[in-house]
Amino acid sequence: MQTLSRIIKLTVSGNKTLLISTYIATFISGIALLLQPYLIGLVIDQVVESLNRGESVHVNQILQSTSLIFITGLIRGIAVYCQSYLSEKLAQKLAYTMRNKFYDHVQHMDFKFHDEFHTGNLMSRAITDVEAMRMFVIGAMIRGPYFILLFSVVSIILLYNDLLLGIIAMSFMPVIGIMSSYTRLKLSSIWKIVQEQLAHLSVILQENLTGMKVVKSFNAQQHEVKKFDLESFYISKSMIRATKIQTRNSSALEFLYILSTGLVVVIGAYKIIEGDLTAGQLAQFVFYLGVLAIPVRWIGMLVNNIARTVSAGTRLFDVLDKKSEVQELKSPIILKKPQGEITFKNVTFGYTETKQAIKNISFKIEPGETVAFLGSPGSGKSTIAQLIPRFYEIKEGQIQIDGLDIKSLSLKSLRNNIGIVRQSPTLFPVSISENIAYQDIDSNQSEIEKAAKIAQIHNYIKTLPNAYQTIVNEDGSNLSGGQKQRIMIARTILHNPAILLLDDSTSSVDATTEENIINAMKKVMENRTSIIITHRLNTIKNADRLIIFHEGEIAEEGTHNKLIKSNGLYKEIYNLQMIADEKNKDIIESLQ
Amino acid sequence: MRSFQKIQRNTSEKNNSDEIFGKAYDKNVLKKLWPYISRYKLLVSLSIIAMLVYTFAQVSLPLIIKYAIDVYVQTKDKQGLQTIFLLFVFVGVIIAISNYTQQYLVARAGQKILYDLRSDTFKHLQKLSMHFYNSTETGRIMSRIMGDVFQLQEFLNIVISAATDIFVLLGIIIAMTIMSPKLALLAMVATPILIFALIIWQPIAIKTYISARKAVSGVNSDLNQNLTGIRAVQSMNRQQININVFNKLNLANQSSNNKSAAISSVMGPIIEILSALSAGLILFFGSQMITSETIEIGTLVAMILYIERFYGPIRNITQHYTMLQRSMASGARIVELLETPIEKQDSRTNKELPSLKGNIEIKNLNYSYPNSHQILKNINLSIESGQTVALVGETGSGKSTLISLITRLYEIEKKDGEILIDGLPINQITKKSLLDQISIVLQDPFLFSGTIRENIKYNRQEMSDEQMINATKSINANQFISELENGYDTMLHEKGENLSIGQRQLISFARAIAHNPRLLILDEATASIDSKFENLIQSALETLLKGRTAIVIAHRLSTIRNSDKIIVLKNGEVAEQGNHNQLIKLNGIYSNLSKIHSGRHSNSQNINT
Repeated sequence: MQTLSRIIKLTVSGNKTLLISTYIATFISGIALLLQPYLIGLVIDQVVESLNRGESVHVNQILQSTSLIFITGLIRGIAVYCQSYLSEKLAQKLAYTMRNKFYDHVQHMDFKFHDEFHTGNLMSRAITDVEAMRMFVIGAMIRGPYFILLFSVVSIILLYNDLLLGIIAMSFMPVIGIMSSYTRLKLSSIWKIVQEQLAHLSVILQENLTGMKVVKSFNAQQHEVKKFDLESFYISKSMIRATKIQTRNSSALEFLYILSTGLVVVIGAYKIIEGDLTAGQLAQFVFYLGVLAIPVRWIGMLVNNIARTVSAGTRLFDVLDKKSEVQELKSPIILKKPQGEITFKNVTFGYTETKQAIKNISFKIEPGETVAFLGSPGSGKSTIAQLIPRFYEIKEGQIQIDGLDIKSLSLKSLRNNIGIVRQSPTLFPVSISENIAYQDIDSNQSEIEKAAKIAQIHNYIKTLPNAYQTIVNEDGSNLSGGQKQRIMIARTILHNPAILLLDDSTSSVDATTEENIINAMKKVMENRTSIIITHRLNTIKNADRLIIFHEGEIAEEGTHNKLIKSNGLYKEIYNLQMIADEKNKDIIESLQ
Repeated sequence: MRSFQKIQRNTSEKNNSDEIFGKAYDKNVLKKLWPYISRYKLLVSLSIIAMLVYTFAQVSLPLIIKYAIDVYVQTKDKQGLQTIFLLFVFVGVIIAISNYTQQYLVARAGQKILYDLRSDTFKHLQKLSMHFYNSTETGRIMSRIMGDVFQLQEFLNIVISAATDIFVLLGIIIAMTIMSPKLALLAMVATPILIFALIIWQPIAIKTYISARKAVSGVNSDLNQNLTGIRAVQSMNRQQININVFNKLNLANQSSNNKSAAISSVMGPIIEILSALSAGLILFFGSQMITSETIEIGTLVAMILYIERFYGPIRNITQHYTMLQRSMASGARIVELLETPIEKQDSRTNKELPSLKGNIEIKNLNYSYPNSHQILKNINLSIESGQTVALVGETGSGKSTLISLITRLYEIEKKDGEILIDGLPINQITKKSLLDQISIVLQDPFLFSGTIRENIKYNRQEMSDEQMINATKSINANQFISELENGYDTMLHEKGENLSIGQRQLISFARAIAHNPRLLILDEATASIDSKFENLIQSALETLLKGRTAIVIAHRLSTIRNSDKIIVLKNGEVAEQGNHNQLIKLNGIYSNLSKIHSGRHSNSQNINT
């Protein structure tokens, strides 16, 4: 109920005029709809009366009433148009508001939130759940009062005109209402199953297609066909079941409707013979019965609509009500161009409550220093890079930049001074030029090209038919991993941040590309504080100092020479490599 | 190849201009899809009969009311009214039964047809060559089966309900004409106006509908992009710019949806007005005909009841027309996929390969992918049974292509040269007997969702647990699997994402070993895993390769060095071959590579902790 009232409030706020005009149009169309059977009955009675009196019909009188029928039809037509257009407009407005709210909320949420809600999950909320709300406005908010009005007025007319016939006609309605609600609910549970089955089928299909190489090399086509056919069979079965339930209901409804019409016609005819009823009244009854069927059938839809809306609304508000753990102070400090000193003081952090990713970490990085963080996956080294730009909120310890607690800084100014090159490059489906200037949109072409030259990607971009205007494919398929990575580096160079974080940035490229990237980065790292996070030794050639992570803690730190001498973890790693390839002179030289 | 491109072109057109509406009638599509329908002729014909009964009963109802009024009320026959009531009950039952029968039969036939179509499309996909998969995006094929086949579901529904509408319309016209031709003509007087309005309205409605759909897909794709890249967005402080862009798209979507609503809302009211007009006309003229006793009062009531049902079907038919266009477009895309030429299948003359010894001989082999430069040039080499052969070369030198040809991922033709397996030309061996004896481990371990057990026993579910466990033990993978909460019954998520990449690679290794191959191919199989797992595998390899022929692509020198033969490929040609010592002495590419490797390529050494 709370969810519904929130949706209603959102729809009403700022749209009062639109809402009221929609209701007025709806009201008028309802009145016109109800007038028509009355007028038709009236004409029939006028005819019958003249017949009984043995006169010919009063043409003027008939002309008057039939013109009225046409006029009410005309009014109804216009009102129906306004109703359907205005209610759609209202619904679209709600959808618009919800989408904007959702988008802006989600893009400001911390990474903990995004770890929990994946893109697909959020997309389905933004698409299906917003759509459910739109349907609620049209199907329940606007039509609800309309149908309730129709139903009550028709019931009163029926009961008032003839109590017995009224009761007969009305007695079927609760049955129809309950039946259709029951069916709707049952159907929606089947649809849920169908949705799951469809999801299964699409997983099977997707895996088959992306794994076609494996399928073919195991000659497993038959096996795959069997898997696919089985799931496909289940879907067919559910669909047939759904049709059965749906049709059973609609057939029963048709029967009940015909039965009630039959009763009304026959009893009505009896009453005409008795002289208790006129032919026109009977005709009215039959027509009103048709009108009555509309809201009664709608009850089923309403039950379904509301059930859907409540679950959709809950899912949407669930996201909208989540607060980002990362919150700015009321009047945060704006970090201008910092020196780039980074200090961790007893920082403990875990992605989940139960497991700590880093434990009591303290270190200090001097301005302009290049430090390499080494460690196996899960040792906590990458977590550091997520904490410095405050993507996650730490609960214990303090992180400082130039001696200022990052929690006291404005998020924008903090992140503005940090450049990150990640393992998996994120490009957007806009031109390469726009991708490089993604953060600094005011940059001119020569600045962009200068950055691309330093990143050693300029020459490649020039070979593309549209050069810098080449649009990156949505899946990034028109660039190789190394090329994308270098575009990311160009982006960082252009932005020129005081602090640079390289998070495993070369692990997905081949050796030659890696060499190129490392060379490109060397220039970038000059004159700024840089952290290189890696598990590969050759990327740390440029580091002033190494910090070795092990199980969330700092195991060792120091220069290469110092660590080799200390005979600890680093030595072990280093030796392991030396055993595998005896002649690692290059790397040794570079480190010494 | 031409038709792959055709599919790509069409789908990209679909993406760009939302080509949802095709021709309403496409002979080729119908011809191709007809066999699917004709298989269920009986079901379809029965449902058509049920439909006819249903329409007939529906049309008869106003007539019954007319007789109740005109015959029994006029003659004050109270007994006769009972007959009328029974008649109502009877017609009610008929309508209920025929409605149920028709809908059920249509659903049954429809679902069977869709099942067949999905199954055939999927089977067809299995027979397409890797060239097709290399040049076609997965998402596009997915939307053929998940989207277009389901869109065809509409097709049958539309045909049946359009037929129902037409028959109802005919029935009403006949009934009205029988009662009074003059009034019937009056009732239909507004029809030309309606049809004229529809003809003008429909193209406009489709246009606004398409633009509304485009707008909404613009909104969704922007949202999707920024959610996918949210980490980059936040680190670059793009939120403000992005919400402005989104807001613009969202506004455009709102207004184009409003426009579409403004257009699509037109027809309902027009029909309301026209049926009021017809009702008015009938009542006006009908009432005068009653006094002149050409018709009776019941006829007038029945006429009005018919009018109420007359315009609905006409509107439905136009809506159906639009839907028909849409399913035709879907049908055309499915037919296109079904007509994509399949790769060469085994012919009857292909021989079973009894037990693969592992003598592989490649003679004058040239190969190029369609529309691409030549990948392999005049390759001559031989691998002897039991040997471990290493393929060395830069990315693009042709290593993976060579392996793909040996595993018949791509078929060679006569002009390309020859690959002989145990003396037999590779394409004269049955695929099954060949591939059953070859296992390949790829750099990217591809696992299916399902249990670990199902994955290791992939395509050979009859394999014993013993054989499976032996395989995992042989590569030291048994321990970590047993330590998982559900052991071998642990469910893998899509792409096995709940395991680390190293664990996935171990399972894909175990899968290869469990199939007990005579020829084992490792295509950079340990490149993407960390040293902990790599060491486990490396130590096991020696035992595993004993008694089997093996082809190994690796960039770790230690693996390569111990192999019986090293083949160095450069630009698609065999540049050097021999064992480690021979090649080092040669002082050529290999020896050079070996130097670079030890110097720069130590990145394959991960840090072990």
